Amino acid sequence: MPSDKMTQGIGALLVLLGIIIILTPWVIFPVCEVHDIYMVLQSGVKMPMPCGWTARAETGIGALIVVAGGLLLARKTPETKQAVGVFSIAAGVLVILFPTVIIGMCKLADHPCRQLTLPALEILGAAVIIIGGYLLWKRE
Amino acid sequence: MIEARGVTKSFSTNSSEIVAVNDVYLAVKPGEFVLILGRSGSGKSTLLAMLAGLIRPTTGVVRIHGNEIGNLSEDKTAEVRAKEIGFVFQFSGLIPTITALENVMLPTLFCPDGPGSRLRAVELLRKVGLSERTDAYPSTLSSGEMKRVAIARALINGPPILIADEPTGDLDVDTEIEIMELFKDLNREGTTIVVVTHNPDLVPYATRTYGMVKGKLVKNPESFCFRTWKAEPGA
Amino acid sequence: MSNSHEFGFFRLLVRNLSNRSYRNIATIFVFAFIAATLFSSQYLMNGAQASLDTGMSRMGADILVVPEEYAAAGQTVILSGQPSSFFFNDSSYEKISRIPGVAKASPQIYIATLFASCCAAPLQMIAIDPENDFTISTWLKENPGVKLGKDDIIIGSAVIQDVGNDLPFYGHTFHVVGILKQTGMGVDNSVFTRFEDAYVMADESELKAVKKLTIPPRMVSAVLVKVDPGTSPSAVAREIQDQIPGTKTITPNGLLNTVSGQLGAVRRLLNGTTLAVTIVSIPLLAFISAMVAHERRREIAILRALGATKTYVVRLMLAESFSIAIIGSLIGIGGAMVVLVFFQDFIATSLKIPFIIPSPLALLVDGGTALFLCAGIGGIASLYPAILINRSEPYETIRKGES
Repeated sequence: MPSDKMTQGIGALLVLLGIIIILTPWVIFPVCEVHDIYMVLQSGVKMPMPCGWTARAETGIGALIVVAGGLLLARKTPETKQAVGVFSIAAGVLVILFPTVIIGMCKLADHPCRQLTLPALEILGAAVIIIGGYLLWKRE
Repeated sequence: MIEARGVTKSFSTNSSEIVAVNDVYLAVKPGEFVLILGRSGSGKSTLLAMLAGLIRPTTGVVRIHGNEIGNLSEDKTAEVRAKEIGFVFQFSGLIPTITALENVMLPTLFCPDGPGSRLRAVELLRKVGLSERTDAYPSTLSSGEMKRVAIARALINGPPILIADEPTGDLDVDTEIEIMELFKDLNREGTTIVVVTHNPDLVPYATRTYGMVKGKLVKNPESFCFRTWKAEPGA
Repeated sequence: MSNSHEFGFFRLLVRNLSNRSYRNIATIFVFAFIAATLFSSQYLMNGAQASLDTGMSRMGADILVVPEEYAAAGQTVILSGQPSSFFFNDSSYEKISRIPGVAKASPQIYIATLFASCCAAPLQMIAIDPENDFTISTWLKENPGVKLGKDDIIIGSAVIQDVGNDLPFYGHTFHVVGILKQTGMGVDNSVFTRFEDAYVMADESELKAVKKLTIPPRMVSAVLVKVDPGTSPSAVAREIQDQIPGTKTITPNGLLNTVSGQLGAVRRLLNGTTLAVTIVSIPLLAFISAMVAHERRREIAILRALGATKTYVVRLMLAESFSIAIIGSLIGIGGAMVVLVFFQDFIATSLKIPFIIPSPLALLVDGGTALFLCAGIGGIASLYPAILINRSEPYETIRKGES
């Protein structure tokens, strides 16, 4: 069974991953609107493209992952591990689904949101899922 | 069984030459229990190492079962050591990354056809009073416990010769007696034993005693002002 | 229970590795880095080659004829799909068809679109005669259910749309009926439509589009040529250039040379990096290995005192070194693959090379090569310290350690 230290480490890792997920579409691998690429309507209004909405969604999920990590740091009981584990798996799945299926990114393969932001979010989502799975497996 | 003829060992340092062992003649017959008394720095450990083939004498000859080990290659000497000699180092010398039981079993790697086995290792640890500590790592053992593991290790391959450098050095009196009784039992069963120590209380266990002073072997240690001890009649 | 069976060489090896994990982590990291670098350079080269092979065969034609002053633009359209519009007189098309050696000729019109879907970046639209065109005819044969009809388009793999979606170009709505396979080349960024639909789109653009599109009548952008079997494409290409002034011919070989030139530069960069990494790593690893061997000299002396031969000790140290090398390599290769696969679009665009993921067999060979090289490096780096340690007499080492 993982020691308290290990659980603490996992909690800290979740907090870190959550922060990175929030930062990825805005700072690390910014989406199109940060590069000042907007969709311009007939009326001349600038609208964020799907990647922008995905970025906002990822911010929300990332924040929740940070909270989950904080919860694990505060309480290391098997029940907490189980809850955080299940949540992490679900959150990780959403991190991957937002830019691929649910909202999507820009439709051109050479846009930064597709080339950089999307793969980064996929990898981060997978990492969160793996951590969640590990927590569930070793919850006792 | 073990013979040293005119054996000398000198070490050169930056400034001078140190003669650790000076022209020693020693013949240990099968079944004997020889004790060599001496202060630290007297050269007794170096002599022991040469008897076990761990270092080559500067001059002179060491023979085991009549074979001059100076003529053998390093690897052949290692083979002879694995089969014939159980050696207990002064500082126990356990491998830190394996458990006590695995340390005892270590010599079986180099003598695969010998009697060594896990069962025997467990039994030996029981004999030295460590049956509760088989899975302990050396870092968690006291120096006395480490010494006992080293003794069990020396016995795993059932060697005909046991050579021990200060085997009771870190042990309390009760454990010291236990270990020496164990040695005495082994000797009775036929193991040839050579022990060096600075403790004259161990003399009664031996069948023959020598002294070592400044690299020279002496037959009558009492004439060199050691503490009084109880000698067996006829020693 | 830590030991339920006899204690052997392998068990000693595993114990030494697992109970010294902190020290080994630095070495594992070095091997991971080396393996990742070796694997990555092989991977990128293989992927570029795979793309070239696929893309070239997909080009379909033996010769592409373009206006002389737009030769570079023509190459770019094929290689990267960077949109262009240019034209030359389509009477040349008839002349080309009549040149000896030409089996078939098919015209194409290149139109740079303003934007596609939601994003403000242009695509290359290519108007064709679906019955005659070589570029998509292979694909159409493989997908017999698909027909390029009125206002239909077939899109390249990099245009992220589904079959059935509508895409507007110059105010005219087109329907996606097919998606081509990935080639890593220009076709991926292109959409194909019929000539008549392109002309209609151009006519309506004055009213419907943000910017008017003009397609000069009876002008084409390029002519694709298939030569008679057994005829040399370069000979026919020369003939075309001679007979029809103002044209330039592009052949797959010519393209290959261009791309190979680019690839060559990238290949040199990657190989140079790999070499540098290896050269720096060997002394580093040798140093770490020597340090570790020096720290373990007492332990090794004990093993020898207990009866281990010199060969045994060397075997043990080499086995440990190989094990660490292999563990590090697997971590490095795994990590590199994750990054390379997920970020492949970005990498290919940045390096300006055509790229598709190599076949599983090629991946296996790349990984195996990197693993093998790392194991070799590990072995070499640990050999010298192992031999050195064995030189000293065991007891002297033990005694020195004592004091």
